[in-house]
Amino acid sequence: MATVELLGILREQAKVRPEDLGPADGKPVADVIQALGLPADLVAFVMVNGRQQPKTYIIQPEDHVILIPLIGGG
Amino acid sequence: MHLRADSSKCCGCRACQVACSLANFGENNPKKARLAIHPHFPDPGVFEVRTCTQCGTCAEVCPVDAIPVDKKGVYDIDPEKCIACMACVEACPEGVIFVHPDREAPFKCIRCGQCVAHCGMSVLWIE
Amino acid sequence: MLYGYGGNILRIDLTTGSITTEPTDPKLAEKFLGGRGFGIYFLFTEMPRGADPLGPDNLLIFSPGPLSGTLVPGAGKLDIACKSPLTGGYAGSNVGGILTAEIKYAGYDSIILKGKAPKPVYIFIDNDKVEIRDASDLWGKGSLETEKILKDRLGEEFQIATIGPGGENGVKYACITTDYGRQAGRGGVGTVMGSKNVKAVAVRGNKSIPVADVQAFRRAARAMYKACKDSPGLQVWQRYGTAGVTVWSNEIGAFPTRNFSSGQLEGFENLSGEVMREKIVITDKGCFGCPSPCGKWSHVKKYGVRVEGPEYESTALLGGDCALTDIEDVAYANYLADDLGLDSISAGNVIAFAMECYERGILTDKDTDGIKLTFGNAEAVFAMLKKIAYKEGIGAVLAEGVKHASQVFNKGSEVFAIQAKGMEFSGYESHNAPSMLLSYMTCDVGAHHNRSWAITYDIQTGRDTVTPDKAERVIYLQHVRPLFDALGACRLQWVELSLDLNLYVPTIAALTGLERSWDDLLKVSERIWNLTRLFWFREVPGFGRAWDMPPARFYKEPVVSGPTKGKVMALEDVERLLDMYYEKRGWDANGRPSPQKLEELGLTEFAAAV
Repeated sequence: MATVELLGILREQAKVRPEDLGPADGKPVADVIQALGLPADLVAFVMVNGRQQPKTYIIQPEDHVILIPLIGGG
Repeated sequence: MHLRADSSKCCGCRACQVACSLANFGENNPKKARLAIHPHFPDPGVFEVRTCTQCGTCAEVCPVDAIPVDKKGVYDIDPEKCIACMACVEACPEGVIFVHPDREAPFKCIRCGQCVAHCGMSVLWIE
Repeated sequence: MLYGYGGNILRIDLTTGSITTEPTDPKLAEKFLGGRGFGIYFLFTEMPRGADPLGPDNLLIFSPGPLSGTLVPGAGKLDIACKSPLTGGYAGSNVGGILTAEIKYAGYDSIILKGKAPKPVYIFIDNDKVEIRDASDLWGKGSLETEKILKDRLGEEFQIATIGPGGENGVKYACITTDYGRQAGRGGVGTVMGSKNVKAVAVRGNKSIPVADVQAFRRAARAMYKACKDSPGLQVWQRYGTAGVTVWSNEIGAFPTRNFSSGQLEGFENLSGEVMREKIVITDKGCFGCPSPCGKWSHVKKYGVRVEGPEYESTALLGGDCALTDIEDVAYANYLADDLGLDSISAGNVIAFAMECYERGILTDKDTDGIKLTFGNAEAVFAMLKKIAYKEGIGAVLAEGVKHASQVFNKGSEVFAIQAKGMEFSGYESHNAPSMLLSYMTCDVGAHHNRSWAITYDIQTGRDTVTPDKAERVIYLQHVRPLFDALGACRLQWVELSLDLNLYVPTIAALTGLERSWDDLLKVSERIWNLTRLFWFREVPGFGRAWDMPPARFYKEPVVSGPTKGKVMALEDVERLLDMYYEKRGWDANGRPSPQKLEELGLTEFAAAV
């Protein structure tokens, strides 16, 4: 099963914890971001298994997805 | 056990060299560092990091026995005994015995590990 | 002892050959810090009022800052200042690499070039030994080739700054290149260097930078490196550098596309950091002391060249704005701009502007010497870069920048000449980002993102609203970010890795021996900001509010496609942004600093000269 990790302010801003979300496999990253209650534009980087992917990427079983905000904000 | 480097990860920033000079001379000056970075640009476009392997060649060639080895296998140059003949500088197979106009005696890595702590690219380690 | 500094100001008069040094004034260091603070100070006090930017009276000033070359993450930034031939106002361009550190080790806090050499020369600096040397054999050569020749001749340990044919030929946005691919790009600093017949500056130094409290400095510096290495963002920035931003910028509709008519390029996925990394990157290449190097050294196999980058900005303007979707085409255009010595940001804009003119019929095949100047035509981009650098045909007009070109082409083209104060916009499409648009409008060198990058603030607070906090945010950023340019360090450890600004305070104190709070330092930054503003008023006849306005495209022509399709600013909102900004700065309705503000900042004596 794929895992989703949030970094920085995304952890504080998410309305739902990724582990309470249910399986993310087969979904586009954008849907997961929406389900977490995060504004999509705040997620600057989607890293899947150490590689950057667009938000249209479909999550595969065993993927490790890390969502990273534009942190410094300036 | 000695300082090692994976050159392919180096970005050439020289933080290691400044950390080295501050730790060992109390001076902010990478020209007094005890490890070397050789940039090869534009072609092929790589940095080459050279570190001391504590092989002892320097001690072997020193005519005045000014490069003792300690219990941990680390060689260091005793500036009091050194006659600045530069035999060690020429003999070092890695090219990592250094000179600076401020100092009469050459200097070399004593495996203090300060460079490792400041490398953002995880190039360096001691093993 | 002036801790943290090289200790000397070096002055070179190219006309007379006179070379002098004097100790750096500790009072100057306290009042203006260094870097861009020194740049504007010397420009303001030593350049005669009304100097021709391309004449001998203009100065070209290279200034590291107190942090440059020290054990601080990203301590590799150099400020290059002059009166800008592109805008007629202040130019302060920032460049990374190793050069700034080397200048400090040679013992200098500013190198001030004035006059004009009678023939091509390069400046040779080896610690205290400074010479003006013949460079006749280098004139006409590319920036990168020139650096290679000088390194082969002088030794790898010399750090070199060069100009290319663009700077020699007077292209108004010519850059200065160092370390085979880092540019002081903006405002024509390379043009000024060329006008002085200086092809290159070569520096070597082996002195120590004095540190007030070595042990405290080591502790503070180590904490900074540790924080960088522990940052969650490190994995992204190390792998991609600024190119990591490309995907996000497109997803939010901020990627300049087809001359800023859209914020998303179809096929942008092919320009992503990951595609770049996989296809062309060979080596990470950092500026001095950097744990998160933006610099990526690439091998562009399709064209058989090596180039640093492309970074986000070059991808945005040479890629998105000209609608190129092959990373190797963009990288090759980047290589050409670098070797020809052109600012890739302005050059990308200029070519995109010409492409729009061509597609609208304002320019024809006759004007372009048969080049099909359509969006997406990579060969046309390559050809135009060369035409601009050598001022061939229409290249001679485009070499003056989009503002001038729109005045020549006319036919309504000034609406889409994407510039402010005569400088082309950098890589953020701002139809739907009021803070970012205000950042461009009020930036002190022209439309550049370096002083304030506020688009994340727009995203967090709402992209359609125009409220006073946006002006406040821009002002705050215009003090924080340029503070790094005065300190001679990079801001990206803060921006990208969330490095706590409070960590700089003990580091700076231990280095310089002067206890200053972050707010104290921000006050210095505000002083510098207001002095650059006074310089504009002094040098540009009739300067004021009109110079802070964006091109009409942002308030007349809605975005044509992408996530921000249909968005456009209202003109009254643009005016309102300026009103709020001036008020909060303590400036009058024409954007002039009030006497009270100048007094508060200790600038009254300078105001008398305006």
